[in-house]
Amino acid sequence: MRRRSRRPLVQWLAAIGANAYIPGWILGQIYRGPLKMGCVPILNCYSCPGALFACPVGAAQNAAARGTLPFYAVGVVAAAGALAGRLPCGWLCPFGLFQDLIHRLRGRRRAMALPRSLGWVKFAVLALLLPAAAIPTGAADMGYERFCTYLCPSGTLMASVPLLAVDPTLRTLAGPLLGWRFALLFLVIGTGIFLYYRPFCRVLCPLGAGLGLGNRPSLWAVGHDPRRRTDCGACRAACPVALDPTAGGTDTAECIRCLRCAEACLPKSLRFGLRNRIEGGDAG
Amino acid sequence: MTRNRMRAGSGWLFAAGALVLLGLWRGEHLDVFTKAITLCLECLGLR
Repeated sequence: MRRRSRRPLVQWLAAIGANAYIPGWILGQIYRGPLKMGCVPILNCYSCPGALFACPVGAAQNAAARGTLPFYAVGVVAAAGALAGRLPCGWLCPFGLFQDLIHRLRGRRRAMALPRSLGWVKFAVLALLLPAAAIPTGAADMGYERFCTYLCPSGTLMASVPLLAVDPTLRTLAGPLLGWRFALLFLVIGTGIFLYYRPFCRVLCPLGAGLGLGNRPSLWAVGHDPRRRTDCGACRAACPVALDPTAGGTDTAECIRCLRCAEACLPKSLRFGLRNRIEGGDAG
Repeated sequence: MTRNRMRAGSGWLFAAGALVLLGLWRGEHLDVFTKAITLCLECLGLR
């Protein structure tokens, strides 16, 4: 009998744990304690009233805007990618959980396959992330976080909505930019319900692109034991991003490491674990 | 191939750890802290 997945529980615990500053939600203020020194490899806006940690995408852009290189933020993302690739996308990211929830509104209808070329857009966003932030603007002679400003629906959902809801002063600052951001958020929601599974993660997320670079060499990976392989196709049918896990699909940057393939594999040919253990030494 | 990937992954992790340590040595965590405890108008879409 197939076991119930622990992923939703882990996702909820991660989302709640990363946004556990209760007074922030009530008073509309952000957390200002020492945990905010820590970058965590999930897209969780540090201006979210509940956020306990810093977003590496925002932190990296802020460093670039000040004209320095963001070794710390980049290192955190690279370390997470080296350990388990996009596992944080599949299991920890609060905005990933949000997209999973809206995708459930589709019911049992299968999502459309995303055109492969769209998958490259997130790498372009990643490549332009720091140069775009570094471009000076106006009299301040500093750049600013252009991805956060124009493209991050997580910030709109997790920061703009709760803070604008409780702070009338902030509402007076709202302009056309906020309209664009809500339009983007609704685009993500609409495509997530009617067309594709996790459209933002797969098309625009620079953090997902950065972590995805680690999918191929990551120490923990999804591997398959050829001796147990039955070619039943259950893993391919279970994959929400239409990859073939038996043909190296889980090593591509498109795999969000949700591990549904491993959960669907009844002969336990596919497993997630330390790469040299699951792939049997040099046999891979 | 598995062994090569394990080596690549280990090297990647070592390099990433070195980046984190270099960043901490440069005090970048304090810059991150300063930014993260200030309400980010860019993140809110207000600037």
